[in-house]
Amino acid sequence: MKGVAILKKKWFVHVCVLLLVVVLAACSSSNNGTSENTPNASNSSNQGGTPSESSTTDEQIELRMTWWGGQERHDRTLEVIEMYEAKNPNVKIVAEYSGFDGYFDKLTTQFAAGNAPDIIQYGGNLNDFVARGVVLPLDEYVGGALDLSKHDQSMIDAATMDGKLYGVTLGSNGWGVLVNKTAFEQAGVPLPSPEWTWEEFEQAAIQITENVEGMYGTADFEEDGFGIFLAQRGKVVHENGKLGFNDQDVKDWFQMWDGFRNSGAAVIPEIQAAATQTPEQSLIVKGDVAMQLIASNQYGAYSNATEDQFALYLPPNNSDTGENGASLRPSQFLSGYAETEHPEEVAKFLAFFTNDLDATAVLGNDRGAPVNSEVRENLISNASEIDEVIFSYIQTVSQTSDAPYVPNLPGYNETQALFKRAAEKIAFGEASVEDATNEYWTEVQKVMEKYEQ
Amino acid sequence: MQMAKRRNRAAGNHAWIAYLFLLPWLIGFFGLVLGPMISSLYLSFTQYNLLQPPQWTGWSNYEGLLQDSNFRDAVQVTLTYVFISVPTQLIAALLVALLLNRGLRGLGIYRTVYYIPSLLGGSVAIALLWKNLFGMNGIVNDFLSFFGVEGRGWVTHPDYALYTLIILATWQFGASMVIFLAGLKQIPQELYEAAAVDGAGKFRQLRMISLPLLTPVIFFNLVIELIKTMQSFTSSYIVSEGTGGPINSTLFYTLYLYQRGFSYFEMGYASAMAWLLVLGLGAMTAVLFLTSRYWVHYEDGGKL
Amino acid sequence: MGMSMKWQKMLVHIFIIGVGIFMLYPVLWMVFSSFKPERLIFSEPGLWPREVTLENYFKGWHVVRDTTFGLFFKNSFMISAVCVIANLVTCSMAAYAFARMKFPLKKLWFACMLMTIMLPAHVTLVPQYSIFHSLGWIDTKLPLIVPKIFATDAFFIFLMVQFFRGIPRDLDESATIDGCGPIKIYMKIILPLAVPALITTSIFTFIWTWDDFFSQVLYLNTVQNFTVPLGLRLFLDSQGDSSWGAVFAMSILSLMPTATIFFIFQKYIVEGITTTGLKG
Repeated sequence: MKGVAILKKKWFVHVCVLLLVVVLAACSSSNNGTSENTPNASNSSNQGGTPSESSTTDEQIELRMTWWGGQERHDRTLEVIEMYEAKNPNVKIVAEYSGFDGYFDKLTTQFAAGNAPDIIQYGGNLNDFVARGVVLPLDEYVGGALDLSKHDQSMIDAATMDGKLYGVTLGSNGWGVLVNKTAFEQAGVPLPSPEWTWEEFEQAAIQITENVEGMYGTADFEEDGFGIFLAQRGKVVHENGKLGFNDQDVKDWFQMWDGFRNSGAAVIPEIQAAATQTPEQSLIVKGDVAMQLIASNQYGAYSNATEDQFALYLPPNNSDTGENGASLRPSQFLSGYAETEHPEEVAKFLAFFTNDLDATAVLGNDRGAPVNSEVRENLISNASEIDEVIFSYIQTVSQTSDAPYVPNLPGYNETQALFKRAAEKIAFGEASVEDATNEYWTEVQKVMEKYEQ
Repeated sequence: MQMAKRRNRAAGNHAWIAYLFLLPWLIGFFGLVLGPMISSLYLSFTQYNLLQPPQWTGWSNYEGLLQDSNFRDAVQVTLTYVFISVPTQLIAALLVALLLNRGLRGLGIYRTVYYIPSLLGGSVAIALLWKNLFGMNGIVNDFLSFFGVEGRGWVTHPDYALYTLIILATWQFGASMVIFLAGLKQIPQELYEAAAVDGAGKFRQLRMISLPLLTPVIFFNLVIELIKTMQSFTSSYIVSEGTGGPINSTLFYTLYLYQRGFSYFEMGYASAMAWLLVLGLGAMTAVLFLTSRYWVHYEDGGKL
Repeated sequence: MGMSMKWQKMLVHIFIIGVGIFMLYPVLWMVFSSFKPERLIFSEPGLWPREVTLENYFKGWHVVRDTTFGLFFKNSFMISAVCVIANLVTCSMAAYAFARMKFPLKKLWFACMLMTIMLPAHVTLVPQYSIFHSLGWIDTKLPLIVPKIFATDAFFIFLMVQFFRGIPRDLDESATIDGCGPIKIYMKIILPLAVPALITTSIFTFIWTWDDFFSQVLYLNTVQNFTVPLGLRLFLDSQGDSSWGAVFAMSILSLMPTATIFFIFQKYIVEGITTTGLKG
C-alpha cells in the first residue's frame, strides 16, 4: 500500500492548494469588488435595491440599459449615462453592454423570462420585436418627456409602426458605394463620375478587374442592393404586410449580377462567399474588390482598417428612371421594454440621449448622423475629416433622392438567408436564374404569411 | 461462488449508500435538468416564438420537418461530417497519444503544443485563422501553387467548405488525445514487462495489451465524439458567420436548430428538432452499447 | 544498434516538431498579428510585422473606462476553479455509484444521465434561464457554478465510469475482506487509482469553463461580473468599429493560463502511478 499512500498525499496536497487559491481569490475579489466600485459612483455595484445613503426625498429609480458595440461606443455611452445621473440624482442607470455576438439571443431569452432591460438598443430588426408586443409605445410622452420637435420627420416615421412610435432613431444612414480611390489611381482607371449609371458602374468595374492583378471590380451588393434597385423602379420592398415587388424584379436583379459576373465586373463567387459584415475583414479592405456597398456610418471603420484612400459614391442610377434609389435609413433605435415599471423615465432618458447638446457631442456620430437637426449642426461645426465625408454624403442623399425608407422585411433573418442562398445558387452554377428566383419567390411568400398571423 | 454471493449481499445492504453517492446528481437532475427537458419536449408540440405564450399545435412541427428541405440538407451535412470526422479525429488522437505516451524527451512540451489548437476552441479568432489558411489567397493555396496546383476558395466553395471544417475538427483532437493518454497510463506497467519477458515485440504488445485494455476508453471516446459531433455547432457558426453557407454546405443540424429557435423565433420547431436528435442519438448509442459487449474489455468483468 | 536507435529517436523528434509547427501556425499568426498596428492586421498579407507596436495590449487591457482585463481574468479564474472542484467531487461520486455499486433503477438513471448529454442545450436555455431568474441569480456567478455542484456535467460522470471500470475488481474484494465499506473503497482505492481520470476531468473542466461563451453571456449582465470570453467580445461590433488587434492581444493573454495549467497537469496524467503495492 506504500505507493498509494504517497500518491494520495501528493494528490491531496494539490487539491488543498487549489482550494486555498480559490478561497484566497474569493476573499480578495470581495474586497476589491467594493474598493473598486466606491470611487466611481456611477458603477452598478449594489443594484439589488440596497437603501441608498443619499438623503434625497425623491423616489430612487433604477433603469437597466443594454446596447452592443465596440470599445468606442461603450466609453461614449457610459460617459453619457454618467452625465444623465449627475443631472438626475434619483435615477440610477445600470449599464448592460456587450459585443454584438449573442446580443439578440440573450435579449430574446430575457424577454421570454420577463427579465429584459428597460432601455434597449435595436437595429433594423426593431419591427420583428414590435410585432411581438415587447416594445414600449412612446406616443403619450411625445411633446412632454420626449421632445421630438427637432428630429427629422423621416426618422420619426422610421420608428413608427402601425401608427405608434416605438423608439427614437439614433442616427441616420444611407447605403453608398465605397470606392477604393487608391486602386483606381494605381490601375490608371479614371474615377467614375458621381452621377453614374449601372452601365458605367459595370465598365469601371471591368477595367479594374482587367488592370489590377488579383483584384475584381466590385463585390455583390446582395439584398441591400436589391432594395435600392427596387426604389429606382419606384417600388418598395414591402408595405402594409404585403410584398411591393414581383418575381420579375427578383429575376432582373439576379440576371443583372449574373451579367456582371460573366463580364468580369463582379467578383467570383468563391471570394464573394467570404464576405463578412465586419468592415475590417471585408473584401474591399482585404483588396479583393475595389467597390462595395456599405452603410455610410461604417465609412470610418472601413477607412481606419487600411491605408488605401476611399470615396463614398451614390448608388449607380437606373438609366431609364434616372433615380439613384438611395434613402436615409435609421442606423439603430433606442426603445423601451413594454413591461418597464418606469415608462416615463425611459422616455426622459431617450430624449436626453438624442437631444442634449453635451451628451450628443460625446456620442458623436458613432451610431450614424444624429437625427436632431440642432445636434447635427453642432456636430458638423467641429467634425473630423471622416465625419465630414459622412455628413456630406447624408446631405447629398437627401438632396438627390426622395426614395422612402422601407424597414426590413418581416422575419429579417430568415428572408435574408433565403435571398443569400438564391444568389449563391446562381453564382456557383447550382441553379439557373429562373429556378433560383422561383424558389426564393415561393419561400419568401411563406415567410410573409407566417408573419401576417 | 461464495465470494460472489457475499458481494451481492454486501451490495444489497449498501443500496442506500449508493443513493447517497448519487444524491448530488439526483438533486441536479430533478432540480435543474429534468424540468427544462420536459418543458422543451412540451414545446416541441407547440408554436412558440419566445415572446408570446406557446400554442398547442400537436404533431405539426414534426410533420413540418418531413417537408423541410433545409432540414434534409442539415441531416445530410451532419451525417457526412460525423462519419468522416469521428473516425479521423479518433485515429489521429490515438496515434498521437501512442507517440507521445512515453520514452522521449520533451514530451510535456510536445503534448502541450498538440493540445493548444483545442484550447482555442470556439475562439472568435478561429474563423479568421481558417479563412486565412483556406481562403482563396490563403496559405494552403500558396503551398499548392508551389506544386503547380491551382487553388480554390476551399472554405467558401460549397463543394469543399465542409471538408475544411472536418480538418478543423481533426486539428482539435486534443481532448480525445488526453483521454487516450490517461487510459494508456492506467494500464499496469507489469503487463508490458511480463510480455517483454515472453519475447513479445512492441507491435505485439500494442495489439495484445494496449489496445484491448484501452477499449473502455476507446468506447467512451467513440460514444462521446459521436454525440458531440452530431451536435457540432461552433465551428460552422463562427466560420460561416451563423449562415451555414455557402448554400447550406455547412448547415449543421444544431446550427439549423439554433437558427430556427433564436433567429427565426420558432422555438417549438427547434425543440422538435432537438428531440428528434435525441431519438437518433439514443438509437445510435444503444447500438454502440449493444456491440460493446463483443469488443470492449472491462477489468470488472463487464457487467454494469 | 545504439547509433540506429539514436537516429530513430531523432527522426521521431523531427516528425513531431514538423507536425507541431503545423498545429501551432494559427497561434503564431495570432501572436504576430497582435503586435501589428490595427490598420495593417488585415491589409498586410505576411506573417512578419512590418511595424511593431504594443498598443493592442494597452488598448486591450484597458477595455472600458476604469475596467481592466484583470478583472475578467479574476472572474474567469474563480468560476473555473470552483467548477473544477465541484466536478471532481460530485461527478466522481456519481460515477462510483454507477461503476461499482448495485442499486435499484440503476440502468434507468444511467440512461437518463446519458440522455442529458444528447439534448442540444439551445432548447433548454430558456427554461433554465427562467429557473435561475426566479431564484434571483441573474448577473451572479451562481448559475454557472451551482449546476456543477450537482454533477450536471454528465460527460465527466461517463468518463469516470469508464475509468473506474478499468480498475480490477479484485482490489475492492480484497479490501472488502479487510473490512472496508463502500466509502472507504471509494476513498482509498478507486480515487487514488483513477488519478489520470481525475486530472483529465480537472483540465477539461477548467479549460471548457474558461472558454464557455454562451452560458456566460446569458447570465452575466454587468461588466463587473464579466469573464474573459465576454471581455474578448466587448471589442467586437460586427457592424461597426471593432478592435481586432486588442482581441488578438487579449486572446494570447487568455491562452496563457489555460496552456500553463495544461502543461503543469498533463504530467500527472502520465507519471508515476503504480498498482504494484496493491496487488497480491
